[in-house]
Amino acid sequence: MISVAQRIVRRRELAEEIVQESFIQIWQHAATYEASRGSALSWIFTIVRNRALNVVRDGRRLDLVEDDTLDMLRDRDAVIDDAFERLDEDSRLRRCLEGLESERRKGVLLAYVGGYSHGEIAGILGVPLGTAKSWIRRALAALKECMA
Amino acid sequence: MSEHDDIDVLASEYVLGLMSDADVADFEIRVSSDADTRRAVAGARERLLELDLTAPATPPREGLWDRIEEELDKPRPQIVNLSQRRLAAGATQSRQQRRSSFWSGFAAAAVAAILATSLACVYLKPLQPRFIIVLLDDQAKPVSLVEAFEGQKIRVIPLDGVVVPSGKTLQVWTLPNKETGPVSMGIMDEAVEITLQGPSLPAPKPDQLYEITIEPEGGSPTGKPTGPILGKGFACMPQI
Repeated sequence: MISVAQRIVRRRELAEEIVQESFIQIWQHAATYEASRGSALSWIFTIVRNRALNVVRDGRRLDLVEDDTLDMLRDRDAVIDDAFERLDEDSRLRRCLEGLESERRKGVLLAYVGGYSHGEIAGILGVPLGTAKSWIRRALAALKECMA
Repeated sequence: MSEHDDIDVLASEYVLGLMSDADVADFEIRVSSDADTRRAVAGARERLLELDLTAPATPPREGLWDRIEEELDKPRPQIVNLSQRRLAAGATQSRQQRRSSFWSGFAAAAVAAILATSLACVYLKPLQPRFIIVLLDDQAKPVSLVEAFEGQKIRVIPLDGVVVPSGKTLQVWTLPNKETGPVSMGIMDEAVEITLQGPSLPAPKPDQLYEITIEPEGGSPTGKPTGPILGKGFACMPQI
């Protein structure tokens, strides 16, 4: 859980804070959760990811990386590649992601693993916002199709 | 693109966190009112969950569990609700006893494990197992999840970090009662999710013990556990 948060917020202390808050949220909301929205495991990770996303959307990630941009870029790509590489060799998700064009795959991974927004992804991929949005939409539709 | 694809793409964008706040609010209304949309969200989460599971395990630094425990220890109505549910499920202790023994009697790490147990009980409804067991190692770290279904069928889900030592086999046991002693539910050569069919036994009961031991290759030579315990836990009824 800590690593999932850390992939998004980068800083270890912040990731631990998020996990701490997530555990408390999980505990407090245990009674109100609906199982039809997914398995327990995916729900737990959803809470962690959403909390981490709130932190970065508040701009707290920006505070952390100003001083070392090049490292940050290297780190960002490493985080994305690492998540993909760690998928099991015979994982269907891996196979389906491999089937996507590399920039579209990167777009999906940047969003899910790194917690980047459409605008940030467009900037990273060097394409207009509309293009990034439509690439990701198509990639998501293709993933759904491939994994069905 | 058909309307059905559209729901799935929207659900995926929602899960990825790519929607604007306004779109999220609209979409959540749709999620709460429409079962198809809920299924689409659940599907999108399950498709991508594997990426979360690739995150390397990071041991929490000292104090994290203490801080969580401290927060949870503050009186909250939700905790009382949980106690009431446990009471309804057949526990005999009073709520007060439950709370005081709960907080004083467990190591900080166990809080997390118990939280996981509670969650498993509440949230694994779609699978509808009769019981769920979170197996903990001697450090109270969850090592595997066991779901017990009708007819002595169990599904074992090893958690991150569990490995089968070279030349060894994991063996799953249950203790239907003291007289019978531990009974093998099956063996695992790899630490991956597996469904096992146990022998004919009385239906499992709440708080029945399940454990996994590390045995010589092929399983225990004696038919009883001989090796070190990987993890153990007690059967807990999901709130279906």
